[in-house]
Amino acid sequence: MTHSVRLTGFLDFDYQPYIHAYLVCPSLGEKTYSLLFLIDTGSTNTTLLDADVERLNIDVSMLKECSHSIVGIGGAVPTYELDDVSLIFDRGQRRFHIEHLDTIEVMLHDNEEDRVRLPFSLLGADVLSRFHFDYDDDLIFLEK
Amino acid sequence: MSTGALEVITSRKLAESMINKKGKYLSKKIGEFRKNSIWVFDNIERLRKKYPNMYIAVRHQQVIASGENASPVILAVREITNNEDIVVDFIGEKALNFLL
Repeated sequence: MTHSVRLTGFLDFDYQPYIHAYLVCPSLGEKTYSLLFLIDTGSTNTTLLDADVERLNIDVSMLKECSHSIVGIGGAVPTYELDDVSLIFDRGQRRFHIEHLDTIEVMLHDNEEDRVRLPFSLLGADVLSRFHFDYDDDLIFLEK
Repeated sequence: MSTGALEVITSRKLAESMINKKGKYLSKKIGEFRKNSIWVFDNIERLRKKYPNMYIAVRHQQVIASGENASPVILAVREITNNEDIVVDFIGEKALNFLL
């Protein structure tokens, strides 16, 4: 079966699936932001986590607050909405693929001590549902 | 008298513009970010011994800043470069299991 788009991620030593992408959002300026995403089917929405919010210097005071909080195993966290986001995936050989999202969520604990400093953000079901997955050794492929 | 419509810059248009203007640069940039983040994964055991429970910043597959708290490391990176593609990672003494 041939696919028109095939994006390649990787599995770490614990078989956690990741993929790199650029984030582009007009409200953040004309810049591209490199991100490592954990491919997380358990997340409803694609979500930027504390560490990336800090690393990319995103000012959450400029964003509107979500009407809901993100609820996970660890409890509820204040979240914000970032509208009109595109994710650019590098397909190699200077080919790229763009996925657009009307909104993604941005999570930032108010208290710096509570911030989760994981080196990735979460690629959620809002994007993943557009693809199907395939695996080969330590690579993961998102295809459509 | 003609009135011009203001063009709304959407993220898709911005992304397409970036790709058209800077495709080669984008490939190189994300390639560098990818190399740095995979380098951390590949060297995690060595990094755990050298930087246990510390934050590190990685550029060109080398640690360029480290510290016990994230904010000073991020600030140190911004003084070195305004490149947001530097990987900043927390190196736990032990491996983390995620429940996400």
